[in-house]
Amino acid sequence: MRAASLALYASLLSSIFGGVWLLLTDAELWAVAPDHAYGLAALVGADVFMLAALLSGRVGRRGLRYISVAGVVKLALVAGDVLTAPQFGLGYAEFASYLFSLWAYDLLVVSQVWVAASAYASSRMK
Amino acid sequence: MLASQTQPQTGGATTIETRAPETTRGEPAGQPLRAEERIVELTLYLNDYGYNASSGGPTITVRAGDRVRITLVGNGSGPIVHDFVLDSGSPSPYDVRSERLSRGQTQVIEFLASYPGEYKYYCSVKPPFGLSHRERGQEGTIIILPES
Repeated sequence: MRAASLALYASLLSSIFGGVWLLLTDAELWAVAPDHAYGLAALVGADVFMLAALLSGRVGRRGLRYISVAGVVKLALVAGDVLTAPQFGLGYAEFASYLFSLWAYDLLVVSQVWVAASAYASSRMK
Repeated sequence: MLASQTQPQTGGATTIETRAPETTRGEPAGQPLRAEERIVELTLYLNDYGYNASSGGPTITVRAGDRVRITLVGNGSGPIVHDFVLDSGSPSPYDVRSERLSRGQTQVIEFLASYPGEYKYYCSVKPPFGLSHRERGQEGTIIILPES
């Protein structure tokens, strides 16, 4: 149980770190797609909220399931960013290649899988 | 009859010795009167992270009084955009700023080289934190010689 909880904390922290890093250092995010930047900021905010709730110790089994679902939804949103390629006049493969060349974006994608899995594992053990 | 020709993706910065391909009569309001005005034309490819190169940019040399006409061609990768700026941040007495261009977009900017001196032109795209495009090397020099 403790290991699963630690994994969940770590996954949320890595998700927050990846998001904040992109928000601070990706010039194109703000220059070309500020709406994406605001969306990412909202996802980071959700991560912070979930982490705070976990640290408060008030999250039960159902709450952990919600966090797991949130991880899946965030994964769809982050990975689904590739589908906005036409907005920039790019092909999907080219935009995907650009996104996955950003290590913080990779971290963000992996973190969502990690959040979903560790939250689900925690809920099973609770 | 361009003053310079460019290469989109070559290595180091080069020097552009400009020539006047055409002249025109008349002066815009507020500018000192001259019998003839030289128009200097060149093309800059806005690459990642340089002008006509992967870093830096060509040295552009013109004479005071020349009208400088630059065709900018966006040539960044993916969604990356670049621009051309010659302003107080250069630092310079000019206030020239293009739009931010993505690959395939073009824009022609024009300004009168009124103030002799050596100035930096650069890309103004920068994130809230971390390296700007200029800090990544996207800047070049424009030398405006005194009027002959």
